[in-house]
Amino acid sequence: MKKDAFLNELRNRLSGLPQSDIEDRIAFFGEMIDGRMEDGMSEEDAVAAMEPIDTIVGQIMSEIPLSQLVKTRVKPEKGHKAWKIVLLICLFPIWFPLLIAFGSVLFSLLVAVWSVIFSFYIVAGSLVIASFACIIATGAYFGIGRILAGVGGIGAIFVCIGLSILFFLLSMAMTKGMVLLTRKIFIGFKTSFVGKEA
Amino acid sequence: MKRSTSWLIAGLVFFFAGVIICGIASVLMGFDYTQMEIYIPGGFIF
Repeated sequence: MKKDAFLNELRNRLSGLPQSDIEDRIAFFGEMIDGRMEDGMSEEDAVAAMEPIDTIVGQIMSEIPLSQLVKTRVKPEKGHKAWKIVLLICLFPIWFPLLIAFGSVLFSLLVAVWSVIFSFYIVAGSLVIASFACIIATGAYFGIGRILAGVGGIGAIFVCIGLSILFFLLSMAMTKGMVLLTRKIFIGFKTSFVGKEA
Repeated sequence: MKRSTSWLIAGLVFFFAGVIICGIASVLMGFDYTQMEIYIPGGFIF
C-alpha cells in the first residue's frame, strides 16, 4: 500500500473526530512513514511496517475523551430542521424511559459482575484468616497431646493456604478480564462515533 | 515460567498436599472426628 492510500484510509476511519485532531494524527503518521523511507525503506515497506489501521484507530480512540467525541459528533448543524425538534420533543415520553431502562440494565449488569468478583476476593481473604485459625488450633492439639488431630490440623492449614492462593489467582484473572472487557466495550462505543462520514 | 503459573502450581500443591494429609489423619483416627473438638471455657467448640 502507498503512503497516500494508507493516510487516506486512516483519515476516513477517523472522520468524526475534530478536524485539528485528524490533521495532527495524519501529520504524525506521515512523518513516521517519511522517516522510515529516509532510512532506506521503500514506500510500500515503510507502510507495511506500520501497525494495522484498526490498532492505530483503537489507540487513538482510547486517548480521546468521550466528551470531546460527543461534542464534535453532535455539534448542532446550522438550520436544524424544525420537524426533527418537534419529533424529538413529542417522542420524549418514549425514548427517555427506554434510555433510562437501558442505562439501568447496563449498570446493574456491571454491578452484578463486579460483586461476584468482589465476593471471590472476600472468600480468598476469609481462607487466609481460616488458615491462621487452623495454625492456632493445630498448636493447641499438639499442646494437649492429640497428635493425630494435630496432623489433621496441618492438613487443614495446607488446604486453606492452597485454596486462598487459587481463589486470589481466580479473582485477579476475573478482574483483569473484566477491565479488558470494559475497556473494549468503551473503545467500541467511542469508535461508533467516528468513521461514518466516509 | 510466568509468576502466575508458579502461584497456580503452589496453590495446587498446597491444596492436594493438605487433602492427602487430612485423609491420612482421618484414616489413622478411624474417622472419629470427636478427637478434633476442643472445648474452650465459655462454651465454644473449636
